[in-house]
Amino acid sequence: MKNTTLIIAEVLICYLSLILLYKKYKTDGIYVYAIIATFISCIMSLKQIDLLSVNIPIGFGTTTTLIIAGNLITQKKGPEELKTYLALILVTALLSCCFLNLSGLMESSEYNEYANKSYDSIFKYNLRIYLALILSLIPSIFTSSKIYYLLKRIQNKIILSNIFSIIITELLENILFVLIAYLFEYEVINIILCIIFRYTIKTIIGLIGSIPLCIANKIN
Amino acid sequence: MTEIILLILVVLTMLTTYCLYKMLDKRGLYFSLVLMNVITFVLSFKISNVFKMNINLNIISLTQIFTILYIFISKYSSKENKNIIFISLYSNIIVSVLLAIMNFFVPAITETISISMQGTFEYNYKILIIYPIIMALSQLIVIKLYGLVNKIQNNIPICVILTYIITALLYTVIFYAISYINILDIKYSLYLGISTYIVGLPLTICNIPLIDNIVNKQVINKWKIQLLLLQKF
Repeated sequence: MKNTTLIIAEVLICYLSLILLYKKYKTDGIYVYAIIATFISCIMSLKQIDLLSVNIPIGFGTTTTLIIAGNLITQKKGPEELKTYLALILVTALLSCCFLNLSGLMESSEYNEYANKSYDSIFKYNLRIYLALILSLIPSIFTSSKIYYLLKRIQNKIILSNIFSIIITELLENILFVLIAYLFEYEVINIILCIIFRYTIKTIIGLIGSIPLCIANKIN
Repeated sequence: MTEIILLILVVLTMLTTYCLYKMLDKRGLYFSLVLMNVITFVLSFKISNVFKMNINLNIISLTQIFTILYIFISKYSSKENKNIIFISLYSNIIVSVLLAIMNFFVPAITETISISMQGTFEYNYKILIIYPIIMALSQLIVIKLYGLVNKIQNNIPICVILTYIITALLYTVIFYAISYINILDIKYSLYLGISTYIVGLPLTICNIPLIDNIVNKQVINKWKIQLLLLQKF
């Protein structure tokens, strides 16, 4: 129950900050949000929660809102502007990966030793998860934008375009992330269940994302 | 090894700012500023032993934040300054809240990282609260001070070093005095602050060529445009 409440809080904060930043700084605000969400996703995806005896990495809100933000850019500026968005996410993810990993490798001080050792054990040798995050996010945002744009051209309805793009791309994102991050580490049944649970939660969050997308679309 | 990593990280921060500026001009500087802000936030939780001194690793990207501010003040109008402070403040508050939420998740039984996360973020919860405030304050001071020093002495290296000396001193006093209450003895907090402050000075000096390159190139470009216009007439 506590975890459910926290997931709701995380999603609310993510969507609120996306709308606020967009309202204040327009497209640049979405880019700023992308930097923050990518960086936080890198840290959040390291932690796992228990759902029906299956370990699932958190960061549901941050990663899903990155896809929604990509759809918002496509809606407002067209698919050409997405290149900058993707480049920025890639730069942020790579830089976060370098900084977090390398800082974890640096010799810890005796001052505040407990916190330093904890810091090292979080960020040291987690390259696989960072790689999974980068390799799942970039293709899924790209695909989502393409589908969204295609549906928008056929039928100019924001909610419909968002729903279809989210259903397809979340599947792609979850399969890529879980396979790259946990293949050969957990049993096959656990990996399949992890994909199913993560997909369900993230798809619900993505579908709710149609509301902030509509709100942001009305802001001029 | 630690020293080499420190050098790599310093070069990385400089390269990021330069590349983003080349890619996206003013917007690139904005994005670099946000990126450095969030990196500094997380690096604040680690104290490392470099050159036989205990330093807080946030100094690597903190000097870069100041560098980006110097470039902004020298290159663009003062209207941008307010935007810079608010964008940094918003980013830091969002990061702080999301990190706090992450800490409260009930972890899986077999997972070990969450204990380390508690040891890092929950144990140092004061940093989560104080960092957004102190960052906004120090950025405000940098903007005011750099403009003031620039009016008296129009020389980039002098302005940069003087601004760093005063602003970083204030940052050090407030940040280290509050962040490590009940965790470190005030004497050790002070040592930590001073050694980090000292390491920050050469890092700031290393950034001067970058500031010079970005700021003075615009002046050269302006001259070129004026010459071309004159030739046309």
